[in-house]
Amino acid sequence: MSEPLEQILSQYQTEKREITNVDEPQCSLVLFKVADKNFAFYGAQIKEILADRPISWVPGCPPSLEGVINHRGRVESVITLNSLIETPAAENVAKRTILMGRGQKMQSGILVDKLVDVLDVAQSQIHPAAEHLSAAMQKVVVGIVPVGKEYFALLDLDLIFERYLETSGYDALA
Amino acid sequence: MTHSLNLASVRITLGDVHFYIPADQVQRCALVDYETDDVPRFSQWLGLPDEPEQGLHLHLWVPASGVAEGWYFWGELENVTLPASDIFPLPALMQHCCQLPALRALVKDESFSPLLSW
Repeated sequence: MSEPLEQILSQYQTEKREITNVDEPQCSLVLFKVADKNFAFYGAQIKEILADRPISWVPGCPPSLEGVINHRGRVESVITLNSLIETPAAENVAKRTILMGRGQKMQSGILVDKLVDVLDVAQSQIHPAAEHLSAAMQKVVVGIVPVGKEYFALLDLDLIFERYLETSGYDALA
Repeated sequence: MTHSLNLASVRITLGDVHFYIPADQVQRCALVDYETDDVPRFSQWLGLPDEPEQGLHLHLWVPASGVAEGWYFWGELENVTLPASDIFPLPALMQHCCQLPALRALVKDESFSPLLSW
């Protein structure tokens, strides 16, 4: 038995090897376009993605509330984001998509022009929202996400609903 | 929810839009012989544009609304029975944003129509 060899091998037995987790925390994002501008929601806030379907208009609602749909036995509202993100509605959009969003207090469908992708990104890839955003955008944008050569403004659904009620509900008229 | 429940209602048609009111809240409806200024138009009370002057010119009394003099409207009024399965609660966002007075639910018909109740 070689004494030096045993010493060398024993070092491995006593060594406390630390395992470093190289996996960064990830989060799922739903990427979409409204009037050719790029936006994203946290995937955790989007329950389902629905193909375009007839939306029943209801009188007395603000223009940004497109109407309602029957979804899985419930009537769900469907809103547009254009006024909140200061983007005029795109014309000639053939097939739009409804994102069924669920916030902490309420849920609603959100009509978008085009679904781009659903993907996981490292949380470190989400950069703070740019300061040059307009005041209205700063109230709903929580980050900027680079994907390929494009950038997506990350929206928080609860802030969207909160802002929607401020600008479209009875509170806005008070 | 028990789906055998029904709601006796009146359906008011203004142009292309239907409104429903529980029948037990409707006191009377009569043809308008002549208009008086103290009776509001239903569409204006709802905060909506005036309906087209087609169909019948009617005077509707719904005491529960607190509008003692009732409303005038042009259109149709029918008695209907709504199964519970056709009556849906309002989505939360609509509760906050829709400005129709007394809007309590939506009724599934050709689309989704407001059910007003006091």
